[in-house]
Amino acid sequence: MTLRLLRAWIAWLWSGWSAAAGLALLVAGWQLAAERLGPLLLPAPLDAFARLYSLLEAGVLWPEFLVTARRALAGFALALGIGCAAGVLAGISRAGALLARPLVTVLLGMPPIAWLVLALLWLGSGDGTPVFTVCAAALPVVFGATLQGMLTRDTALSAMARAFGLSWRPRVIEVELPHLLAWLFPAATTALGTSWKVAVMAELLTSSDGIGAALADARTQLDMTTALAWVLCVLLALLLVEYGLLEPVKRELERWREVAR
Amino acid sequence: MSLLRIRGFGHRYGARRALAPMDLTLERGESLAVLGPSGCGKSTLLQATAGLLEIGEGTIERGWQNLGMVFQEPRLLAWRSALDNIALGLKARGVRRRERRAAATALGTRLGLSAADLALYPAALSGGMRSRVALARALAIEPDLLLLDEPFAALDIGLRHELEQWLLRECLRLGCTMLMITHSPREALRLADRLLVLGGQPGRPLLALQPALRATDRSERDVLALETALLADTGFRAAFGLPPDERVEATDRAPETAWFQHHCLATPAPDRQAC
Repeated sequence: MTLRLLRAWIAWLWSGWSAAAGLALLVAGWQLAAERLGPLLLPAPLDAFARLYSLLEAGVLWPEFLVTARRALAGFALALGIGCAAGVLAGISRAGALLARPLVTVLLGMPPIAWLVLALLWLGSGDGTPVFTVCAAALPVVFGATLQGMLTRDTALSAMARAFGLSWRPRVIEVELPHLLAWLFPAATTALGTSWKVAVMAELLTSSDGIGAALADARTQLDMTTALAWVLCVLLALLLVEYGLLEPVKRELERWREVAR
Repeated sequence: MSLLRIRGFGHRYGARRALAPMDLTLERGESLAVLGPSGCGKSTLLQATAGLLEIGEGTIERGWQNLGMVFQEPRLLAWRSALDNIALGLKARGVRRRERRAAATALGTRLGLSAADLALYPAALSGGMRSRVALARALAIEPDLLLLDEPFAALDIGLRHELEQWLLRECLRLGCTMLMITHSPREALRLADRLLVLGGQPGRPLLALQPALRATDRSERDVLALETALLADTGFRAAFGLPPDERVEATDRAPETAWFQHHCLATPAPDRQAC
């Protein structure tokens, strides 16, 4: 399994030329816009990358990055745990599903900034506020997907597994979990992206450390190059996690789906 | 002890009664086909036997150790290869990975699936191959009772015949008992030693038929002759709601092998003269 995952990962990286071309186009567009607008409004990509490198060399980047990563991942992990558990519970009982549906709509519609204001009042300006806000923003996505996965379970397959004498544990592993994962994985990927964005936003408005706080500093000093360097840092981290880890794992887990397409 | 003994089993879905209380006994090594029109309770009977239905009325005594089942649709795990699907029942019985894969490969090969086919996911298999995998999954556990729920209904006549013959041979080799439900008299006559016809609303046994030859001893000619005789039978026609057909004079045309013992158990409806 590990070897197969590694092979899938290398194959995925090799097939990433088209993605690289897309990114190169984006940077080219950025360069073009920078030349028109001037360095005060939009610094050139090379300058932003150079600043990112100097932040890394000065030892400023890692500590701030790790603070944000800690908050984003803690909020995401909480959302994943609570969302999955609540989604499964709501999916088991029909009444639970009926009660939960409008709840998902309300929670999905609630802007993260509203959660942020509430969290700031309840939890102050420590780690709690960004972690809570990230969790609140990512939770409905995970919960909704888990619930949907539970509601669309194939009862015919479960009956087959019971007829063949599979006890509840292998039945969950062989029949229920793969179906649930197919729903959960795309939702978790979206939720992870949301977690990063919301963590940075929460830090920008409430914290004194982390990438968001560094962005706020750059803004007060009207330092566009540093601000863009921090934005690049977040985007690179997201790209790395998404394309370097999640996507190959997803492709491996859902190989059976590729065949169906 | 009988392998399966059903006493007074009946079933309701909500307020609607699907199956009137009925008795059924199946001895070891026997094969029985339950025929009947749609909605007569055939599937209910099979599901209750498989333990997939809560029994509210009557009793079902289960004398088997190993139950295999083939459903109307293949019901394969889309995320598992054909080989792993065949080995599913063995996994449930705690057979080691290497042994169960070897057994599944051997069975799959006997059913005409190559190693390359066995490595594929169900989505990449043809309908016929999926049916083979589902059949192999049921037989991999060497069941003492095999339940078949119209397993070949969606297959072309060539493939259906091939799989029916294969199933007969395997069942004979394993000595397994078979309970199948079907719409098709021909399929029933090819595979089953005796036939039970359900009908009416709610469903109940109407006819019990026992052809002279056992399923394994019948030639295709015997099967066709028996089918002709069966389709001419007034009780059988009434069970399926077919009008009496005066043109068929089965007893004149059918050869001697088409003879079967015929027990009228009930009439489909009080106003119908079935037997």
